[in-house]
Amino acid sequence: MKKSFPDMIISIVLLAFLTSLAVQVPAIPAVSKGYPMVLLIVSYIMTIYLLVSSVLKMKTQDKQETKVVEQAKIIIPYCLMITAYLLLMTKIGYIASTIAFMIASLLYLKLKNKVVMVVLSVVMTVVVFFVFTNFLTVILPRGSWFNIAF
Amino acid sequence: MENIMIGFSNVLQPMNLLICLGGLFVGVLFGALPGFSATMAVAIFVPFTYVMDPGAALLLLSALYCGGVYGGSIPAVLVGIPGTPASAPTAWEGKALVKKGEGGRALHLVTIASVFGGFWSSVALLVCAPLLAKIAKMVGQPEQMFVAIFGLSVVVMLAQDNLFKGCMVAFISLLLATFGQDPVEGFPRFTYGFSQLTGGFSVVPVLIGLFSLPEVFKMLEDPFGKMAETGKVGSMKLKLTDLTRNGLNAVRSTIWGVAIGIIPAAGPDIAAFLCYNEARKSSKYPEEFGNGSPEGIVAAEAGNNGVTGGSLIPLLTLGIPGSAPAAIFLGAMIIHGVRPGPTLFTQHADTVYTMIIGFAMINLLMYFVGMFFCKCGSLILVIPKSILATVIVVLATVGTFATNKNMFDVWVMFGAGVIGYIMERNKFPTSPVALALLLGTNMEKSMSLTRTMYEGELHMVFSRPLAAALAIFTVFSFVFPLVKIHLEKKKKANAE
Repeated sequence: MKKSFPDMIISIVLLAFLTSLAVQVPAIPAVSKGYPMVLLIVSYIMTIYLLVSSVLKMKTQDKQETKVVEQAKIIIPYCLMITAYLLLMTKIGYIASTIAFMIASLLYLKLKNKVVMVVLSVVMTVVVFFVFTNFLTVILPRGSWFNIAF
Repeated sequence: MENIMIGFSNVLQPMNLLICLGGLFVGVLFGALPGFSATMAVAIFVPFTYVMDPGAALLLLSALYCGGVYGGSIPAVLVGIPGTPASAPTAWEGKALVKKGEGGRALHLVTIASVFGGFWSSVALLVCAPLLAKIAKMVGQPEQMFVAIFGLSVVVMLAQDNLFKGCMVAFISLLLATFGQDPVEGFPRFTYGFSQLTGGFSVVPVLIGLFSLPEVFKMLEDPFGKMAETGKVGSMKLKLTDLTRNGLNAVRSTIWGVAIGIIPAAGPDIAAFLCYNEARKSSKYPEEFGNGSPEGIVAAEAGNNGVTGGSLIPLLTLGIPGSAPAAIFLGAMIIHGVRPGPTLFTQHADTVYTMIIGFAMINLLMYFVGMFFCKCGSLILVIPKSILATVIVVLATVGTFATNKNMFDVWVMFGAGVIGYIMERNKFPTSPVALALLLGTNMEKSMSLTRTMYEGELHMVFSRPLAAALAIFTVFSFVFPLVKIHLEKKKKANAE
């Protein structure tokens, strides 16, 4: 992968994001849109500059070996695991989802000691639940599918 | 004086002392663990303070901050790898002492110097902040506008390595800060149809995501890698010369630390290196530097801990957060209804004096907590990455949920974490996001009100002496780093 390739991708994504904002500007009354408009224009100019400079740099750069693919193979599944955890939290409640996530995460990251894995997952989940519910008066998600979380 | 006494009586309440001790334990742990930091500790624990009264909440955050800054030096000595750039000089000297079998002595020196620097920086905070607040009382809307722009100029200094990317991140983050209702007219902007965005992005979830999840993802890059081998701690006894040779060194380094802390963005790393260099220049034993010099350790640690109190002076008086932890402090203070600024010392005197006196107390307590951690330091450093990563994800999730008790914020935190990781991997600085989100709304509001005040005659703003002075400072703070970068490039080119 060439060194400037990530910058090029990032600037394309940013341009798409800025365009999604620009589309909403006409709906804003004149008195409220002056300041964001200035920021939007400056952001556009800077992003286009980054895009153009990264494309120009890429032409002169040689390919470099990186570990991006290997790292992505570990990080993307972990991100999906976090996504599943957050989705499940509203469905099966904080306690069940957190215990499941912690065990899955520790298994995925190859923690060898299975006793520590289970004890840590259960104890930490319950302690956090107890602290938040009793001391911080925060009712953690109970889940819409089952009422597992007490 | 009355306020100071109230501060003392509040801090000495058993519950508050317990909060200070608890915060210190957790803070030192976060500082000492590889990949963790003082910023992460403060960010994750902000939601835990919601049910506390503002004084106790700020005590907890102060303890986490001081403990985190100090804790970073434990692995620096035992492993020889600085957790933060500020610990680099400590790592050079500490590792050399560990090789000589004097790891315990090095850790004791680190602890004493940190306590000294931190304690006297609290005294500086107590003396300087109310004085500066009196000047800040003259601040009106035009001055507030320049204060906000001045605060944002910190971005230029924070992003010196990649100025263009830093400024780009700042502008896009300022744009993010305009999401939700316009601060003057109340018209909702850029909500994408989400009712949760009507009030704009909640800052705390973004900060938790930005400063905690990227570290987790970095750990995952090499999750099965071996933890570093730690040196032996050994005897903690100091030599008499450690005390006799270092008195002046500690005082000088603390003064430098406080002065550097007051300058926004000139953080503990600059203080540590500057104090280390000054100590070497004035030492009678310069040959010891690099080979386990106690003077080097004392200078670096007194200097970087001196920054802690100093950095809170512009935050409390002008509302300018000069660093990432200070930005999170600002967010927490706003949540608790304690808005930093000129009126802080009159409207919330009990809270702010509790915090300042607590800051001094925390630094004294740090000696005992620090010595405890030094003795079992090598045990902390062998906690597997798999456990650390998992625990942080759960704490960040639950802490974010507690902020507004909704899952939308948790998704925002997760998104901010992923974006923060991508930014860090591609050398986009993340601190400008925190500064822009915190200062953006105020800047827009004060700009709009100033424009209304001076209808069409904006140049009249400069007829106000304080506004003119702040404008000059602002221009200087933008131009100075650019000139510095240019001169450094020129110097390098000449050398080649």
